[in-house]
Amino acid sequence: MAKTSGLGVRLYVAGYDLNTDVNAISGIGSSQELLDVTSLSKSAMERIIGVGDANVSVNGFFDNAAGRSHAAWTSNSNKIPTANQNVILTMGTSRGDAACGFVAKQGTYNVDRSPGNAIATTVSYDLADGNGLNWGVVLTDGPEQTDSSATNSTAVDNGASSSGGGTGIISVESLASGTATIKVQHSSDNLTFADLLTFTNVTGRTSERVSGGTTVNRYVRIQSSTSSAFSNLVFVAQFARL
Amino acid sequence: MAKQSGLGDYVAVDDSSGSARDISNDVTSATFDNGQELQIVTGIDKSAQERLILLGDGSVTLNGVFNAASNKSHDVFKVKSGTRTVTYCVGGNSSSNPKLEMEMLVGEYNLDRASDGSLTWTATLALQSGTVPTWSTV
Amino acid sequence: MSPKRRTDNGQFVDAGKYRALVGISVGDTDYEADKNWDFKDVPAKTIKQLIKDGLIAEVDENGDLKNGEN
Repeated sequence: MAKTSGLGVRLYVAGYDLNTDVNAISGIGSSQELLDVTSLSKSAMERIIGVGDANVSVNGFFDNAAGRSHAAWTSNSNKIPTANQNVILTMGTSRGDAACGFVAKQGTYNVDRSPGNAIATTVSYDLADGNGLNWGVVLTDGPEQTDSSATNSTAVDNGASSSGGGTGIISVESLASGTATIKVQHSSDNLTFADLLTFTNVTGRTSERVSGGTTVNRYVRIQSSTSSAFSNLVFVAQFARL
Repeated sequence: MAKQSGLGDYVAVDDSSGSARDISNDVTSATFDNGQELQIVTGIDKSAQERLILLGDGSVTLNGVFNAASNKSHDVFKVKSGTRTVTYCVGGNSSSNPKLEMEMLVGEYNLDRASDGSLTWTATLALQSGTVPTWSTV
Repeated sequence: MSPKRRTDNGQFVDAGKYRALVGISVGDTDYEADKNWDFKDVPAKTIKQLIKDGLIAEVDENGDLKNGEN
């Protein structure tokens, strides 16, 4: 990836593909407090890192069709959801492109009816679970891919292993039938893979964040496997080394 | 050196492992603030202000275009931990050019995907070290 | 299902020289976690690395982990 435009940016929240209804996103990323610890012996500021935060703001167009943004943003029985929302933002549409993920609360859903414009929506996502927004890569291709049956996806090469474990988020749009098991697997040689993170079995639209492991080998891939014979798993997976 | 434009400038920031990375080509605008608190200590016997110098500080704001290529701006800022050496050379990293180097912490790294399709980032850093920022030369 | 063998005292235990401590996948074959396998299609160098990484462990002639816990 060289310098890129935002034409490949994609947003997936809690199993919903919001990309046909969103036209701008700001604040993709995170901040951290910098605390003043300046001592008497110093002539300039000394600082240490404090609490981190992430706040993403999404602008879009009102869409009340089934499975679209209005359904996502009022998923709590026609009210703003109170449950944690797993957010994936990809900077491109290809496997291996930079992507971030975090667990958020949806703070707002504002609808703006201005003359001469389509009905505009504004939604905010603020970090909720204390674990930070993590930059990594997208493990699926498209970035939303369809596994017609159990699939070992191509691995993403990190160039080297890492030792801080990893965190993965899946956003599952749909599953036509059966039950699928989704795992993040890692390998040192791109041939023999071991399970790193295992998600709860999937039967339909869902999302989940799982963290764990210590050593994460050089190659990481997403695997969908059969719990009971499944067809057409449509999903996005993001993974970050910690 | 006579009066300078900002063309041909150099900015490097350490990544989270402490390796300096030249991100000059990703940065579209930058601010390097280097100030010090001034305390007013004017005695009642004076007719104009008296001041003392208090704590110095440094802060940097960088704006750029998203680049996830190896060791470019995304690799530098995607993990915000660690003290970073920030180096700014007016006119380039060479031959006695003016240089400002500070030990800093990353405050934020945020991207904007605008409605025109552009993807830009802003990163802010603030002085970590307690050392007064000092201009030198390359 | 992992292959079984009969020990001298009449027990049926998992065959296989190694216990998969997590699920292992090689090509289209998935090896279930917590069962013993020979990993015949895995090169020796990779087996050494998997043991070093704590992803598989050697088992004794009874099919139990060599390093204590079963």
